Amino acid sequence: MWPRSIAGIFLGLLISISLILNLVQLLPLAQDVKLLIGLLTAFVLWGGIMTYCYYSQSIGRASLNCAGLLVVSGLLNAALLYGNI
Amino acid sequence: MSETSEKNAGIRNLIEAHSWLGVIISVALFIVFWAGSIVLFHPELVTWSQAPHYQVDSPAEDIPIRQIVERKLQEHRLNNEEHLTVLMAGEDRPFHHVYIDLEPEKGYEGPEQVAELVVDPKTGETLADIGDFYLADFLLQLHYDLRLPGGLYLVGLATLIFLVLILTGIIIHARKLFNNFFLYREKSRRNRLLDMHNVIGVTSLPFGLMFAITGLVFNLSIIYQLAFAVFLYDSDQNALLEDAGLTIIEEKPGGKALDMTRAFDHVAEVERQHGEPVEMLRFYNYGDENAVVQIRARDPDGFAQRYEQFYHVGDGSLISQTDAQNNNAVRRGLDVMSGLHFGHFAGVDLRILYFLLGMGVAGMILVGNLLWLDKRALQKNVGPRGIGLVANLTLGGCGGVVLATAAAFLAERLMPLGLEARGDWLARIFAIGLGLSGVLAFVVANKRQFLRLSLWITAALSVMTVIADWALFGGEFGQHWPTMIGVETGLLVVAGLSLWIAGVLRRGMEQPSTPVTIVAEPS
Repeated sequence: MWPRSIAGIFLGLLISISLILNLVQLLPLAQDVKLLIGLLTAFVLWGGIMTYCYYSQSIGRASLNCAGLLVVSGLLNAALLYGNI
Repeated sequence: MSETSEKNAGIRNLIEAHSWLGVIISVALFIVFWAGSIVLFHPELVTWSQAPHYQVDSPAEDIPIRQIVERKLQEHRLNNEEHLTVLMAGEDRPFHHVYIDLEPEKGYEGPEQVAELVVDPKTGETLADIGDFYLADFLLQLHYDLRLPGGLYLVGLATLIFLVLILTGIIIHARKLFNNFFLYREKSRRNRLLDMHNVIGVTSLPFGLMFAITGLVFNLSIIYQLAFAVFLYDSDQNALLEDAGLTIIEEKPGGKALDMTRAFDHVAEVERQHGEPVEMLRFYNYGDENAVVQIRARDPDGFAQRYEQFYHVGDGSLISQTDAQNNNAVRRGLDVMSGLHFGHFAGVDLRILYFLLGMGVAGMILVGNLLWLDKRALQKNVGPRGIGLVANLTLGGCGGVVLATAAAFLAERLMPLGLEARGDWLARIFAIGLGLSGVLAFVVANKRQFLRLSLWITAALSVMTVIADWALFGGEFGQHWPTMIGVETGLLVVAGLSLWIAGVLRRGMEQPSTPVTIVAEPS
């Protein structure tokens, strides 16, 4: 329980921040609309990733999948924020 | 492992997580829902607390707000680098609430001092300190931060787990959600509890999801706010807040005095043009050439929207205006979330429905704990100490908060008005009620008898509060009698329900064959 909870809380938070930053950068909408969508979606993503960590057969596999998603999303963050795409 | 068995194992993991997470946050979540359901009636509680103590001359005209502000500034030294705020008397409160940030004495280095005054709108007289009537604000604070240091984030974390509980609950029941919608198996106690838990969970699902998401936005949005500010705004928080539709007044006093007549004339003009009473005024740099007034009212043209203006008093310019035509998605979204969360976008009937749903969720939390206890007792995979701990915490925490709330209501009514730190006493009485109940839950061996006694005391305190209302004021509730009667009815319903549950428990004690979870050994 505890390893799953810790992985879910921290990886869920990091992934949700990273994905939401990408969403806010990529959506062709007004800034205020993107901020609102980001704020609402972020918590659902966070909760969703925590749920996935509890669902998964092994915490190692769940963490690995989450870390993979975080790396991909983080690379896109870097490209969008610092790569002038 | 085949796909089906992997799925089944996943569901089993979720059931385990659902029950453990539920039991871990149950007491905190119960308090949040209990207090939150009561503070849906925050305006009514404020009126119930304050109004009968003071006779308001209702046919008389209200004194212009300018005269009241000027009079209060003669009595208190405003630190005009800070704010002066007036929450106007109206539907939400019977008297003006005036907050004046005070000029600190020389050498004073403590926290900011604020005069918080209850002011009669008809006479301009200061009636009391706002903190003297603490019940409504105390319950509100209990709802959002449990009155603990760092409680805002603790409640935020509990809300996040509540969201996970909802998501896991949906997945666990996905296949049976509609087929078993009307299922209620009366014969076995465990099935009865499970069906009760599921029925409340499913029927309150949209409501629970709304509460979880809006609660998270209120308590934990700072995390994403910081992330957005750092990565998207080069750490410029103000730029982010401006994009989010907030007006930030950064100008400090220029040092040249300014007559504030124009500010009050403008407020009157706004009220006349907008057609809705002004609910809040906040002055920045009052009486200075850089003075700004913030005016807030309801916006009848939008769902749960606010009308707001920032007006520069010195040059008569409009800094910003938010209404149905000039709005910002974040600002509008937050107003809608606030309206949905507190149910203040419709009448009292909607709030009664919210109250019932909120209490339903609180009940579901209790039933969830009973299910956990039954399951662990059957499976024997948790020792008697663990089971005793959960049983006692549920009993002392959840039962205790109900009893302590009833004690706080009676204290609010009976404590003399002149009592020093009256509000602090109310908080102490609540803490003593909760603390005593918590300790006794661990000490008393017969848990059922203890719960019955707690319910009896809750009922007695509630009835005593109603009796005290009538004994102290003799039914002289003035124009606020519907609110007074409404709150008293609520108290009597709580008393009746407490007695009914105590009766059910007594009947359960007379049937020894019924399994009794909460007689687990004290730990």
